[in-house]
Amino acid sequence: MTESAVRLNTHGHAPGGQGEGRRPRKRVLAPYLLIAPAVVYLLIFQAYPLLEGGRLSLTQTSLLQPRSGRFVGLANYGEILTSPRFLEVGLITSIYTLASVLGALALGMAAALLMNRPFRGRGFVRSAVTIPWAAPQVAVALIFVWMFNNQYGVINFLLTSLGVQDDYGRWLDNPDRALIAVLTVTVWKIFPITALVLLAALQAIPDELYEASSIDGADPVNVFKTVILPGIAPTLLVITLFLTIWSLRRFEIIWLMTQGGPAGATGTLVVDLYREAFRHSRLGYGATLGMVGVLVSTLATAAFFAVSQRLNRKGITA
Amino acid sequence: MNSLRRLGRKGLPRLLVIVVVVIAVFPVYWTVHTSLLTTSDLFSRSPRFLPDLANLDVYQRVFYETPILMWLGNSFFIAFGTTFACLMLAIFAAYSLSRYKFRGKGVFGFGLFITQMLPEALLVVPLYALFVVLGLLNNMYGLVLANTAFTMPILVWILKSAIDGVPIEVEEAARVDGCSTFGIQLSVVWPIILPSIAAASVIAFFNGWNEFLFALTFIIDDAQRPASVGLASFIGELSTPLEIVMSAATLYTLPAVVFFLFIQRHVVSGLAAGSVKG
Amino acid sequence: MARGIKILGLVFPLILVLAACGGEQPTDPAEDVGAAGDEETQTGEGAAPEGNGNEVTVTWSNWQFAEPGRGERLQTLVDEYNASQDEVFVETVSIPYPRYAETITTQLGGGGGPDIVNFDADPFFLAVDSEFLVDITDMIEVDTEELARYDATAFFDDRRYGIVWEALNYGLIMNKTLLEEAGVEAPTTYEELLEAARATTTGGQYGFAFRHTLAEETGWWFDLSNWVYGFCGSWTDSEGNPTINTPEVAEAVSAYQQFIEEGLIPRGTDAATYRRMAWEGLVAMMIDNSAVPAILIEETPEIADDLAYAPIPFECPENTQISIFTGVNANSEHPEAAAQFMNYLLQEDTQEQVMLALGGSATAREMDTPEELAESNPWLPVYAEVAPDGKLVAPEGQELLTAEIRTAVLRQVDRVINEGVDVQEALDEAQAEVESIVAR
Repeated sequence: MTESAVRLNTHGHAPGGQGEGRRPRKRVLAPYLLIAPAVVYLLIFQAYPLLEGGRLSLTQTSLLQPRSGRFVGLANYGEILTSPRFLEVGLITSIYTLASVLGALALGMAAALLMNRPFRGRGFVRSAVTIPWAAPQVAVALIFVWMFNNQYGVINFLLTSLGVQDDYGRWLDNPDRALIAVLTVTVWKIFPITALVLLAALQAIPDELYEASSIDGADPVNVFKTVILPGIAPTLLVITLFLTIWSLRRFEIIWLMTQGGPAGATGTLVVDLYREAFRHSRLGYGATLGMVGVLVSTLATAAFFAVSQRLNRKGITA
Repeated sequence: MNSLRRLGRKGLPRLLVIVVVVIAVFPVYWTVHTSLLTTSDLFSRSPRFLPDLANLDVYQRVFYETPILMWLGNSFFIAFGTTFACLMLAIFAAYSLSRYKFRGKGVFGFGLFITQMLPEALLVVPLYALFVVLGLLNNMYGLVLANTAFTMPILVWILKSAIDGVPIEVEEAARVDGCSTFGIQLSVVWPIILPSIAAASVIAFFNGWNEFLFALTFIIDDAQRPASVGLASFIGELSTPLEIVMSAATLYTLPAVVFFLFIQRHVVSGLAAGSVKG
Repeated sequence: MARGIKILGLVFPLILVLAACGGEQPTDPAEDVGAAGDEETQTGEGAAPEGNGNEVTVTWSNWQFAEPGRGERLQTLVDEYNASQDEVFVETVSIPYPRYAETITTQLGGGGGPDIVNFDADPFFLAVDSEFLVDITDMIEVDTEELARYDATAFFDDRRYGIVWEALNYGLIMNKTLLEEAGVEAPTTYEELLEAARATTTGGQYGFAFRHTLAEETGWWFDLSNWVYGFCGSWTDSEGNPTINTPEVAEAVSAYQQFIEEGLIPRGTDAATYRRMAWEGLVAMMIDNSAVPAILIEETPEIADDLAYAPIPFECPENTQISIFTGVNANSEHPEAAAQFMNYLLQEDTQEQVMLALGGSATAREMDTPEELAESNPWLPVYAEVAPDGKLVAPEGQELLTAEIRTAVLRQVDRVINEGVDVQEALDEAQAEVESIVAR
């Protein structure tokens, strides 16, 4: 998870004698033998299905006859681009991805900073904070649907009692709020892993750096800016990238809660993919949606790598 | 002034910790709570916040009237299988990525990344056809294989970062002692990165424990079902017994949490190992 | 460090053991569990507890097996069959209802799936069209004459591809105590229904309930079709041309929308929850199917005295009919064994058992409701009365496109409900979309 973190660090103040490429081995066979099982495995269980997905995206194929599709070239891609839903789905997918990543980072960072300081019961707190991560998604969707119930949901009760809203509101069937509800659940589910990864990075910051800055009389905001942020920047970038590509493909939580409704308010790309391929049996068109998703993820990844290289040059070698 | 500052430094974080813990725990608490409600309490506008222990017998019903124990057993098998298979594949790949420079390394790294972008729904149909050919349908080993494909790449990154952090001198000392490459890994490298292995295990375990779509599609034998699908099967055409669903959900959530409790000590330091740099 | 090595020493052999298992998967687990791979499932001798070696195991999928009450009664039926002979062993497979159609379709398309499959009408038609069901014309021994008229829907080009498992119709279920308290009579027209719903909607209690969210797409389509059919509209004409923006459909959708707008239903609440509210006496009326009364009463026996039943009080008598079919998977290696079980299902005694297990639904045979049964299940005669006017939700002539048409229409109705779009405008749009789907 911290691959580029490591790369950034080794490029910067590389510790002597470790890291990749320091001591290239003579025997060229060994590295291939070591990755061979993983490579073969991924070729069979990921590359082959992906290629098959790419092939399907160029065909008109029914779910019931996945092997006898008709080749249609780029027609499916054309249909997506001209579909009236294209912009809507694109917009919802972007909002969902952006908001869930930012939400998870904010809450995850807060939790990580809080758990980084020593206090009694820290082990308990760490375990407690991890619960959403451990909670199975099917169970999560079921309880949140009930908690967001319009008439009897505890969320309505709490918000009304606290005076946040005057009366019980509608959530999952309300185009203005459904996405907020789904995002709430998403952020709740993914902030723990964010917090743990960031916490790990925080703990790697040497105490001397804190001490130095406290001697300088820096206030907490300054410490965060000058010590913490540079220290965890590489990790932050990597986890952001992961959260982004995971959010772009997240499906179960949304489907179990709203199936993309109401009025398209929670209909992300993958929700449309599932509906087209599995409900409407349009496997070819569904595969096309999937390939578009993969393409978007690849672009996002490229963008992140560009940013991280720029930061790398600026930040660490300066 | 002074006491205010101290409050700011000590009280506020403490309060915030409580807030974060409540946010994290409340929905799970509410699952337990809902499982213990009678129908009339369920439809009350002013919910009670303490569970009604008089209804604990719902758990007895879940144990006796549903195959929950079998489902949990299956989930456990799948989760552990996924964890072991992932580690098995990832640990050598990680060592190779960390210690060697070789042609194709970049491509492999990029390939690992791609796997994290693929929507399961895109792969499920080709995988199904593949599993028919390989005879992997309808058994839990097949699910282990499918889950491993999605999870193992993450583990490779974590373990690679961890191995990066192990000074190469340690290995060289062992080599002088006459250890083979494999022997070095087994006796020198792995023990050092044990916390990272723990962290990686947690990720693999949770992924295996949680997985739904493949289990739904690849398994038709009720006796092979994991709890994720079992739980969903309570959502009926005509009615959904909420108290049964919620108690089953509780029983399904708890083992994962307990597993984490056992291993949590190592997880943070394990994740940290990758970024520890002098 | 020493401790670490010790732990690893324990873990490593386990890894190796698993890896060894991993290499032999295609064959090994099959022997362990007796059912690996769909194709092999049928040969899984180990699965039959009392197998005599010659027994053939066939799997039968149905979402109803997992439901409390119905599921147990159906399992009893299967157990009795398994005990009654030693040639065929039927193993039940329950797939969650919300994902049933897509899961089965994926399995059939992928070359697997259970031997015997229960289907809703539109996936059944799809499966027939794609030749994924066995032609069982010559395997079914029961004379077609003995079966109900809708048995004909299982035939295509005079060949039989399934049997009707269950036929559900829709009627009005009322809580007469709540109606009396509000001082209203049982409604006999739409206007009276609206009035009664208004009168019975008071703090925390709802006059009516139906499905209205995309999260329950299939059920929403069933419910909305009742309104469209009851207002004398239909989704397509007899030639299969979409008729979605006709005045009848528009009137139906407006009438349906009226209930939502006035807050006469618990908005956003799913069917499982509002049916539960109904057995708690929190919902006065529902237009719901013939299996629902039994569920309500099973959960709260006292509610039986409060409930009354009537045909849907709309202008036209047509009402939604949910047909559930049972077919034999063309991937199955034991179609004969599957057909043997289906012949058993069609026996008169079994049919009565099926009907009771399902809570009084109509089944493959046309059967008079036994008198004592009608007395203890007073809804049965009412539903029997409306059954001849049952109409499938699959649009006539476009059955294979049901799911796509459904999504296109419901997305537009969703806009009416949630974005205040004009009914006619939304239906015009739906009509255009459906026309382009049909044309494609």
